[in-house]
Amino acid sequence: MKTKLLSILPYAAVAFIVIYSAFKYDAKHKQQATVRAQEQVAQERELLYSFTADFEAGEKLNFVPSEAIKFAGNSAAIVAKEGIYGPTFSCDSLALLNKVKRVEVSLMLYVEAPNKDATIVLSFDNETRNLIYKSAGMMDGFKANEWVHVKSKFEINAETFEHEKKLIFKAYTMNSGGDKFFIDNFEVKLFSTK
Amino acid sequence: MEQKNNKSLIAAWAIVFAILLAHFYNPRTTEGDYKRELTFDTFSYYLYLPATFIYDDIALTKQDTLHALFNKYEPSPTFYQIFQIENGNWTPNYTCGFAMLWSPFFAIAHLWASLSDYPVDGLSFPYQFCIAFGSILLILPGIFFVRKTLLRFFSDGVAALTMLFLVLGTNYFHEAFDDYLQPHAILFTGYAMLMYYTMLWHDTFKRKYAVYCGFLMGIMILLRPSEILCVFIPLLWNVYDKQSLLDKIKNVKDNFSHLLFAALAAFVVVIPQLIYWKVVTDSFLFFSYQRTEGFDFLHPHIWNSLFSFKKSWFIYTPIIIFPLLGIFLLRKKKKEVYYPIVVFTAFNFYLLCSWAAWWNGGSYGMRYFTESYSVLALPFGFVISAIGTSKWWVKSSLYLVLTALTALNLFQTWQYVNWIIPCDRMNWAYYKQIWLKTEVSDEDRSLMEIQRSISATEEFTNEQDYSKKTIGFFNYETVNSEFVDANRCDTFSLSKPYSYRYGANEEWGPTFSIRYDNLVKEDKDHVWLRVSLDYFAGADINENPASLVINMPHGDYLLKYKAFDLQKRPFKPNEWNHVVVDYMTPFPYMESDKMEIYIWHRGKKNFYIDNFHIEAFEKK
Repeated sequence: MKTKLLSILPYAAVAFIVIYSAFKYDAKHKQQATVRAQEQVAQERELLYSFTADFEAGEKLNFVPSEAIKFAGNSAAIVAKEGIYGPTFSCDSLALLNKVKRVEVSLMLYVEAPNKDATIVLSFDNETRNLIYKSAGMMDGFKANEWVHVKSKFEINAETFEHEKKLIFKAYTMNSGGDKFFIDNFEVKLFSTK
Repeated sequence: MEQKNNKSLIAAWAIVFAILLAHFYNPRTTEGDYKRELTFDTFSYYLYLPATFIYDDIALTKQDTLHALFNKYEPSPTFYQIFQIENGNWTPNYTCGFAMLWSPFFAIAHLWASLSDYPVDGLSFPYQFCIAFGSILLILPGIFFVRKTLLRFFSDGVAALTMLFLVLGTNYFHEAFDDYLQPHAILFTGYAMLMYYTMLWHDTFKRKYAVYCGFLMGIMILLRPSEILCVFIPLLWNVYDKQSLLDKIKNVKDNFSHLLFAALAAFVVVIPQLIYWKVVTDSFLFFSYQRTEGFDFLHPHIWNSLFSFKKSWFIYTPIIIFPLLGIFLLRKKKKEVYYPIVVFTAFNFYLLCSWAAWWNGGSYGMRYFTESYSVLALPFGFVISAIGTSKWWVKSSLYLVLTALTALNLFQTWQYVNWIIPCDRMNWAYYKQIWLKTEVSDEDRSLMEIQRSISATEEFTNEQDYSKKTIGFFNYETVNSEFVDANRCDTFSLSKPYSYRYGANEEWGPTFSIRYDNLVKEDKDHVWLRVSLDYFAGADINENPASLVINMPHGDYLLKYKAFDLQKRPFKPNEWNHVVVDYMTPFPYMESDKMEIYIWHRGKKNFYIDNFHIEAFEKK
C-alpha cells in the first residue's frame, strides 16, 4: 500500500503543478485584464475641468490658514471639528455638470493622530434636495505627523440629474469629530467619457 | 524476483522535475505568461483546430476573420503560415499531425474559455496555456520509454547515467522545457515509443505491438513527413547478416496479418489529413511544403551542420560525439540493433544537413537532431557501459569529460534562455567573447552577426558606419548597359538619348544579378543594397503598376523576396519619378547563390526606366 502510494506521488505532483499553474496564470491574466480595462477607461476619459487650491495668498476659497504646518508655499488649511467643513469647491454650471462621469479629488494631508471622522465629500444638489452624496475616508495611508498624498475617485451616474434645471456640485473635506487636520494642494478634477 | 531498477526510475523522475522546474524558472516563460505560445510555425500547425471547430472555415476563406485574429494576437511579424492554392482556398504550410495530437487539450481549452470570460477565439489564454502544457505532457513520457528500452539492454545504473547524460547533456533539455511547441521534443517521445514497441514485437510477435508501431509511424510522418525515415527502425531490427534477413522475412511472413494491421493503423491516422486535402485542395494528396526552403541533396551542408559557430551539432552539443562513436560498438556488442540505428542515423543526418536553412532557424543548438536522441540512447548506453568496465583512470577521465560537457550544455542553455546566446546570430567572435560569462556588455553583443529584420520592413539608419561603392549603373546608352535588349531601348528618356521600355504586355526586363560571395566579403555577414532608378509610368501608376524586386533565389525558393510596389510610393503623373529602396542581404543558404534585382511590370501601358543605380554599403 505504502509503495503504491509512493509510486503515485510523482504523477500527483505533475498533475498538481499543471493545475496550480492553470490557476496561477489564470489569476494573473485576469488581474492584467482588469488593469488593462482600467487603463482603457482612463484613456477614454476626458478632463472637463480642473481646480487647484494651494491655500496661499489670493486663494479664492474660504479657509483657516496654518503657517506653521504646511506642505508647500507659506500656508496650508486647517480643518477642525469646530468648523466641521474644510475649504469647499463648488460649481453650478449645468452644461458642465451634466457631462460629469467621474470626479477625482486629491490633496496632501497632515494629521497628528488617526481620525476616522476626516473625510472627503462630494455632493450634487438641486434647489431643494440632495441628489448624490458620496464620501471617502482619508486614513488609508495614515502616517502621524507626516504629509501624505490622499486621492479618491468617485464614479458619478449623471442620469441622476440629467433633467434638473438647477444643479450645484460641491467637493470638500469634513471633520465631524476628531482632532484637527491640515490639508494642502487641494485638487478637484471633473471627467466625462469620450 | 522482480528487479526494482530504482536508480533509473529516480533518474527519470528527476529529469521530469528538472524539465518542469527549468520551465517555470525560464525567464522566457515567465515573461510570456502563456500569452504568446502559438506563434510562428506553431501557429501553422495549430490553425487547423480553430479553423475547423470555431470558425467553421476549414478552407481558411474567411480571410477578414483570420487577419483580425492575426492582428489581435500577432503570432508573427508577417502572416506566412498559410498560402492560397489555385482553387482559391487557403491551406497551412504544414500537415495536421500536431493539431490531432493537441485536439484533447484544445477541447479542454475550449470548454474553459466557454465557461469563463475569455474570448472563445482559439488564441486566448486558455488555448495558449492548454496547448503549451499539453505539449509538455506529451514530451515527458519519452523519458520513461527511453528508460524501458535501456533497461532491456543495460543495468539499472547504466540506464540511469545514460538518461541523465542524454537529457541534461544535450539540447533536448532545452527543447523540452523551452521549445516544447516545436515538433522535436514530442518526436523524441515518438521515436522512444517506436524503439520500445519495435523491440517488444520482435521479442513476442504480439499483434498489438505491430499496431502500436504502425500507429506511431503514421502519426510521426503526419507530424513531419521527413520522419518517414523512422520505418528503417522496425524494418531493419534484428537484421545483421543473410541468415538474420531470412529469419526476418520468415517472421514477417508468419505474422503477415500484423503487417497489415500496422499498415492499417498508420493509414487510419492519416485519414483526417487525406480528407482535409480532398475537401480543400480537391486532391487526396497535396504537397503543402511549397513555401519552404527545400533540400540541397546534392550539396549537403555537412561541415556547417557539424562545426559552424553560428549553429552546429558538435559545437553546441559536443556530448553527442559519444553516442555517435557508440554506434560502432553496436556492431560488436548488439548487432541486432546495429543496422536500424546506423542506417536511420546516417539517412537522418544526410537529410537534416541537406535542409537549405541548415542552421535550423531560431533555436539553441541544432534542434532538428533532438528527436533522434532517443534512437541514439542505445549506442550511448553501450558507451557508458564500456566506460564502466574500463580501467579506473580511463573511467574517471571519461566521466569527468561527460560531466563537464553536461555542465557546459546546461550553462549554455542558461545563457540562451537569458538572451546571452542569440537564437540565430552566433559567430566565433561572439562565442569566444561570452564563453562561460554570465553577463555581457553591449560591446560584446556588437560582435554578434548583424540583426536582420523579421518584419515586412527594414530601415538603413546608420549609413555613417558603412563605406559605399557602386556595383551597377545602367543608363541604357553606354557600354555598361550591355545586358539590355537593344530593341527595347527607347528615345524617350530622362538621360539622353535612351531609356529602357517595357511594352504594353511586357512583364520582365533586364535583371541585375551578382553572386553573394562576390558581393559580401568572407569576413562580413551582410551588405546593404541601395537601389535607385527613374521611371515614367504615364498618367496613373495604379493603372500601370510595377514593382522593384530584390531577392536571392535558392532553387525554387525565393529567399528574402521583396517587391517594392511603385504605386504605394509618391507619384507625379506624366513626369519622370525617382525611387530609392534599401535592402539588407539575407544570410545565404549557399554563398554561390545570386542576388537578383529587376522591375516587374504588371501594367498594360508602356513603362520606362532610366538611370538604374545599385550601390552596396559595406560595414567599415
